[in-house]
Amino acid sequence: MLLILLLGGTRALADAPATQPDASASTQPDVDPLADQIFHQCSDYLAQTPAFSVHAEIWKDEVLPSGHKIQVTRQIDFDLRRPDHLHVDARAHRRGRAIWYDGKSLTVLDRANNLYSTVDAPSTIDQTLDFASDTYGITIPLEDLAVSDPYASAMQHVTEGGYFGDEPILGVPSRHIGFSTDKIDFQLWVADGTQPLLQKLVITYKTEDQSPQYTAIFSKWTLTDRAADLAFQFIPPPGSSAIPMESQTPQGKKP
Amino acid sequence: MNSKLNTSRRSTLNRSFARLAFCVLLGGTTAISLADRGGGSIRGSDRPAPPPRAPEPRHDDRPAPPPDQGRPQPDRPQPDHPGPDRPEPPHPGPDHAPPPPDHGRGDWDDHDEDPGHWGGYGHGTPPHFAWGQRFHDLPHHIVVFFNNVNFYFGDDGACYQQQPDGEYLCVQPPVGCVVPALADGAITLSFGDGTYYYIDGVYLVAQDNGYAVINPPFGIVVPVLPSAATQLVFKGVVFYQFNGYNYTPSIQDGVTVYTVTPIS
Repeated sequence: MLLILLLGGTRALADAPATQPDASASTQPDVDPLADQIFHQCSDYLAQTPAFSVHAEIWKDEVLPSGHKIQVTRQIDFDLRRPDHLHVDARAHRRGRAIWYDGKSLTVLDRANNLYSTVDAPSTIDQTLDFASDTYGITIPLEDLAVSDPYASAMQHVTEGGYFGDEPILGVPSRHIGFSTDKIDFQLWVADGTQPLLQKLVITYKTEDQSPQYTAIFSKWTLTDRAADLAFQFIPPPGSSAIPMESQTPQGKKP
Repeated sequence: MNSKLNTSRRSTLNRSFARLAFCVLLGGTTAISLADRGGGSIRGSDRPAPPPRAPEPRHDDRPAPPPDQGRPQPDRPQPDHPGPDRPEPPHPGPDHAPPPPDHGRGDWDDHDEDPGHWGGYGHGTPPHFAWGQRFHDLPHHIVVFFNNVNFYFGDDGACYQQQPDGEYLCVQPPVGCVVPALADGAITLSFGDGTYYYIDGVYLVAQDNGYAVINPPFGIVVPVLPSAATQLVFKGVVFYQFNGYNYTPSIQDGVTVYTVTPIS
C-alpha cells in the first residue's frame, strides 16, 4: 500500500506520463517508463556480465509470536559465473550456511553442525535454482542476481512500478525505483552511471503480519570475464560429515 | 496410570518480563517460523508454499492441564548439608541449530542468528537439560509420584530424582509418567496422525490429565538434537545416539533435521 501511495505521489511530483488506457489496461502493469528503463538497464548489464562477485549486508525483519518485530543481520558473499557456477555464502554470528553449484552438483553446508549434503543438479543456474526450490524447498537468497534474465524474472508478476528520484547509497549516486506485485513491494537503488549495478534492494512482504522487510546493501562489486574454478569448488571443512538431502516434504517428490 | 500429581511453589507471576519474553521465544520455536518469504528473493515470492510439515499450535492452544487433585504429597526430604545453588541450565552452544521453519518456504538460512540476539533472550534456541548433573535445591518444581517414586520436574521441564544425600540428579523422565504442564520451550511436532511435544530428547503426548512421557515414535523427525547426544561415525556415515535411539541427520528444506529410530 505504501508503495502505491508513493507511486502516486511521486508521479504527481514528477509529472510522469500516465499509462495510456486501452482495451488491455486491466492486464497491463502500470509501470513508469523511466523505472522500467532503469531496471531494464540494470538487469541487462548484470545478465551480460560473464562473472561477478558481490558482498551484501542483509537486514531482515522477523516478527516474533510475541508481536515484536526485530531485525536480524547477516552477510552474504555471492560469486557467479554464467551459466553454470554459483556460490552463495550466508553468515550470521557463529552460524551460517553456504551453497556451491558447479554445473553438475549442488552442495549445501550447515556450518553450525559441520554437516553438508551434495546432490546432482541440472546444467544451468536457472534450472538449478528452480530445482533447489521445487525439490528441496531451498530458496537461495538474492537468487534474482543469478538468473539469466533478471528483468523478466522479477517483472513477471509486477502490477505497478515507479521512479522515486536519485539518492546516494554508501556514497554511490543511485536511482531509486520500486515495483509491486500482489504479494510484495520491491525497491531498488541502481547506480547512476556507466555501470548500472544494484546498490540496494528492499523487499516488503506486504501480505504478512507487520509487513516485514528484507534489505540488502550491496558493495564490493567485482565484474570479471572469467572467475576461478576454486570459488565454486566445495571443499569439505575439516571434521565435516556428509548427510543425505531430503525432498521438501516427507511425501514430496524425490529427485 | 499410577501417577500422582502435585504442584509445589510453581510461580509464574514473579517472573520478570525478560523471563517471560525468553519463554515466549523458546515456547514459540515452532511458531516463529516465517511465512512464505522466498528467502530474500523477488522471483521466489510467488512460488507456491509446500504443504506444512507440522501443525502450528501455540502454547495457548494446548489442552489445559487438569486442576490439582489435592492428593497428599509425600514429605519432601531436605538435604542435610548446604550445597551450591542450582545453576542456570547450560547456555546452548553453537552446535545445535534452532528448529527450521515448519511451514511456508522459509529462508534457507532462517534461524541462523546468534542465540544471544534480541536482548539476550535467544531466538528459537532450544533449552538444554543438565543430564546427569546434581543440584542442591530445586527452587520451583512440581512433584510427580510414579511407580512409587517421586520425580521432581523443575521450571525448565527437566526431571530430577532425589538422591540419598538429598541432592537432585537430573534424569530421563520415566515413560508413562504424566506431568501437568509442558515445559517452556517444548517443540510441537506432527508425525503420522499424532501431535507430539519434544524437548531435549524427551517426548510427550497430550492426554486428559496432562502430558505423558513416551518413547519417541519410530521415524519421527526432530529439528534439534538432544544436548547430550553422542556423535558416532560408522563406515563414513555420521549419526547421533541418545537414550537408546539413533538420530540420523539429513537436510530438509535446506536445514538439518534428525530422524529418530531405536538402536538396533
